[in-house]
Amino acid sequence: MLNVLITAARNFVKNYFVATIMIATLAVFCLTCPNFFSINNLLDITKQGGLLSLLALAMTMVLIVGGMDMSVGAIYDICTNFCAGMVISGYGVFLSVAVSVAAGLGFGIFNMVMIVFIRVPPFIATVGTMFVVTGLTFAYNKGQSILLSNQPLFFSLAQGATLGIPNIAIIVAVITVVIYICLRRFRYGLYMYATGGNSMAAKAAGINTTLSQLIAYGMSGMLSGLGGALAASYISGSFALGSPFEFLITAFAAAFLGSTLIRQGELNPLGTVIAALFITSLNNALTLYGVSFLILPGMQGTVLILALVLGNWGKKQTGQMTIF
Amino acid sequence: MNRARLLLGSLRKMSAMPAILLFFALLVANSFIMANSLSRSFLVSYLNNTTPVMCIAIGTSVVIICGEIDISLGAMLSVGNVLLIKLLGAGVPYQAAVVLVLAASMAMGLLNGFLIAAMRGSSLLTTFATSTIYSGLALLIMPVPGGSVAREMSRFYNGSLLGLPAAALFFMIPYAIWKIYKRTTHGMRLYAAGYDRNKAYVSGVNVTGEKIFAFVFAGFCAGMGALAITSSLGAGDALIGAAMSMMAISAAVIGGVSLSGGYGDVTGSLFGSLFLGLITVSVLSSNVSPFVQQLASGLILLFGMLGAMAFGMKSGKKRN
Amino acid sequence: MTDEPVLSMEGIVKGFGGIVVLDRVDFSVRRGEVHALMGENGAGKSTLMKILAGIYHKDDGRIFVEGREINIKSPNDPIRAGIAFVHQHPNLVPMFDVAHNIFLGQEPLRGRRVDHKKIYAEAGKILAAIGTAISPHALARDLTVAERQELSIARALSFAPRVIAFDEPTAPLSFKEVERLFEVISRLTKNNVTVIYISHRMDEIFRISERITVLRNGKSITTLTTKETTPDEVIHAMLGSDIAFNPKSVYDETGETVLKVEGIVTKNLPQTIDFSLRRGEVLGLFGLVGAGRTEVVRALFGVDRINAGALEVNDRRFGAVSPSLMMRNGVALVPEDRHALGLVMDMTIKENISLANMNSFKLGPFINHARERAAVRGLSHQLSIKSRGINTPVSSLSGGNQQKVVLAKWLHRRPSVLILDEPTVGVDVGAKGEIYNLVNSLAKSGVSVIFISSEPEEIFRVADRILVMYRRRIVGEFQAGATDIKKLMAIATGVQAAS
Repeated sequence: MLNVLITAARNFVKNYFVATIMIATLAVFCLTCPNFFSINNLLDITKQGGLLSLLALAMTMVLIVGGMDMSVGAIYDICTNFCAGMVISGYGVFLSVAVSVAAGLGFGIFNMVMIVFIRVPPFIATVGTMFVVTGLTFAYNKGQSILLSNQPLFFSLAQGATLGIPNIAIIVAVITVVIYICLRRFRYGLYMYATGGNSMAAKAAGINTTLSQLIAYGMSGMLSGLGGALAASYISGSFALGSPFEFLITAFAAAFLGSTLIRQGELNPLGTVIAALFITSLNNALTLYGVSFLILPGMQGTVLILALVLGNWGKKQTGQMTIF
Repeated sequence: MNRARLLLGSLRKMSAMPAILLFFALLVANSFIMANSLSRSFLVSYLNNTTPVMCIAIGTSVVIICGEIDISLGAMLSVGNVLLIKLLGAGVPYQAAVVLVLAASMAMGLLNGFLIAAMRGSSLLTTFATSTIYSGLALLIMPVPGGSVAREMSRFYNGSLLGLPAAALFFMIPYAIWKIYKRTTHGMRLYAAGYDRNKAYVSGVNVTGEKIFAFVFAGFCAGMGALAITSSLGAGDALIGAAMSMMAISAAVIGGVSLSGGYGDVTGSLFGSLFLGLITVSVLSSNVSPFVQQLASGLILLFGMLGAMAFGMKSGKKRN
Repeated sequence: MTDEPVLSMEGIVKGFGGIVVLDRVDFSVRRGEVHALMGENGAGKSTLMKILAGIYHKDDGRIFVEGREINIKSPNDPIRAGIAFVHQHPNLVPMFDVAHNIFLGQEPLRGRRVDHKKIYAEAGKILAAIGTAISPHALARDLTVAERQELSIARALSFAPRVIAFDEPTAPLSFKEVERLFEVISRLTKNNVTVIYISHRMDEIFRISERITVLRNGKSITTLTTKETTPDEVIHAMLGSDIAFNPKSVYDETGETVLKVEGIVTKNLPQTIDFSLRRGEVLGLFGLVGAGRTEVVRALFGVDRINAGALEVNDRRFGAVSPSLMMRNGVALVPEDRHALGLVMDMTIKENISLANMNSFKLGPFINHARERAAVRGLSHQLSIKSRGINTPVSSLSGGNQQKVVLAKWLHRRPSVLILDEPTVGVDVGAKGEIYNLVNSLAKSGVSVIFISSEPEEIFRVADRILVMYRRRIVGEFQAGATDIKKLMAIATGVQAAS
């Protein structure tokens, strides 16, 4: 009996190397840091991780079709501002959130037009969008943070819980499942992977690669917009200065770390969310240890590099040329 | 008549053309918005402020020409900046401190080069990751802005050398090194490696070696930029270089350096940086509301890049 | 197997820029047969197939499928008409598994959802019909070259075609894999699927085909019934004559050996390659598609790693080489695909020539531009490169002149050994003659040349000695003055053993 267990464990480690390391790391945290394992802390991690997951999911969609979106952080920031601004001006919760998502979609369309129709390389186009959106943010909030108070319905969105489960977790879980199903079950999801995998083969098979890209960038915008709205709810307002870069590194790191979690090494929504939660835990634990928050982005950068190396390493072993 | 047309034709093919045109156009436009905008004192102080970005733009361009990209140069500059302040504050003699800063920058460049060239990693993601690591390093060295430098340094920087602004020295040195390098056999090989890695290899080019050189040189440029900004600011700030990486890339794109590698020159990026610096100044001194300024800058930058790319495509380069 | 043709192409005409490539070609195949399409390089086989595949548009002629005329405007049309292709380099999505690659773009649906179960089930059926051991769950990127080909066949079958055309399918395959392919093909014909088989390998064609159509110079020469003909007759149809004109006169040079290839084995050359080259000799390397000539060049120049054996260049022995090492030792390569490996298209003539010749233009570490310009002009004149000056971008030159720029690039180095891989592909007749003369004068001045070609006339004209390759091995040798093209072709198509 023991032998069977040991063999099973060994196989698990071999096939799910990265997951093993992640579990081991979390175990170390739980054991060595008493505050980490508390219910409140874990709930915090879930909520913050959920917010970041939305950004990571946005990035994942675009990476799947073989593109890149450097503007997710900036869109997130501006939508935080939009949502907070609308709530404080008296528009209802529903309208505020809807407008945020629509704004995100609008920026996503802006990206789409540049990348798909004018054929600007994704990096340049989305960096340009990032600059413009950052400027718009500043123009909108005039350098002021927005502080919300007495908005119980709105706050309950991100700060509240239903049946004990944080609302953010529910929202993110639902979105993740929906995305997962769409990618796996529907043709257009498959076509998105095909577009990213080998766009020439996809086109030769009659797949509309333009449509795949449109969907990806549109969804990326919407997810970032939704994330921004929920962020406004979570922090009860918005900050004057956002940190688009930090969000970017988390989004990339989560997307690529998530891809190493499954056998084929593909980008996938479930892996991304798990990785985002893990990275949030990492940040959280390191902060509890007393590590300065200043080096957290650098730590995530290291995670990204390791994820890239691991991802490449696996592919090299099967003789595949990486398409980066 | 034909000679003039030939000359025009070859001018049009110069990759730096859009950047030069944009810069002078904006300079002229600015002279209407701002009084004294063509005065020597204004131009010199404007140049002094733009020098650090120009240094980084040189390094960024060389890396792009060899077929990769480096967005960690701004972070490297920050490291150089705080490191220099700390060293000087600890009493290390000026010359030694400068050497150490340059060495550290080149070491960071070497790390980038190694990760990318030797391991064939994606340069965009890898340098994005290393930029976070270097930023973290800078913040560790100096979490809070502060420190000071000897008065002589600032005075030197803001003064002149042989009638020219002394600040220019900081970007002229890397520029000169690049121009010399470009005329050697290695220069051509760098372009070939960027244009088509396999083609270059079959022609006997040591692709890995050239790319590592490009990254180390970029590190050197970041180091020079760090020296420049330290002399200019007189203090250390770990976040000083944060936005510079992206600006340098924009400058390179505006300057006609093709992102697919093997095409363009540093001269264009220098004018691109000047153009970008001028945007900030123009927008600042125009009557645009301060809150819209950043937006205006962003929009001008975006159109500048798109315009430069369109220009590049029209003069017969069918490359993506 | 009925007599009515399942596919019939009549009077196909196609020209490119004034040159007629297909001149009223007729080609028809019957249901359930294996029909071989043969011809020399440039005879028009691949153009004909590309027209059928919808990649090119015919200038004139008609195409009928089971008696009904069809109009082919895009790659989707032949598929709809029941014609599928197995290309040499299949386009796959690496991260998808076999089953999903087979059904890419035509996934079965259950309502709106993709029916993954059905994909795997159907894929399994098709793979079983082919008789392959590949699992539908295997990832495309993990497959070997032969397995990718089987995947390609499976995908072609998923369209339930009447006709499948194979383009040089056995070129990358090992012996066992070829046997497998034949099993697959016989299963196909048992199910009444027609197979068009394009190949140079005579033994294979005589094994599996029922009829052979031969093209020559864009015309359909004849259609033979395999059982009733001989390889000799086929070769005669392919060549038009048996004798070469303008053969090289006997060349007497007993110079020292400059290059010795001993027992070289690479991943693309599983059986040992041995040959040697003397000073001032022009060694021809003849073979048809897939014979292994380019693989030999890649091994010589170090692009493919040498797993066994050694190279001796000018008495220096090497077990491992790289392009820069070979260049330093006086070996120069003019590659086959001048677009991919020879020229930097956006650069000028001067820049391209300089790229490989840095050392001679050096002044200390700098480039001596004056010397560079003078040397380039000299070479340009020597080779009669027609252009508007040395600062013209090479992309604007004709094919022949581009090839001359590539030659100039390497000539300047005064190599001991110059390897020319198919140097006259896409070059007009006039420039071809100039290149032959150039090769001869090079040899007279002491440069040894390895001249790789698949044109029999050309190689007899240029070479002092000819090595014939077939299936990645050297299988024959001819001396200067030889004129027997038929024998050359026979050896190159595997009909005859070593001379």
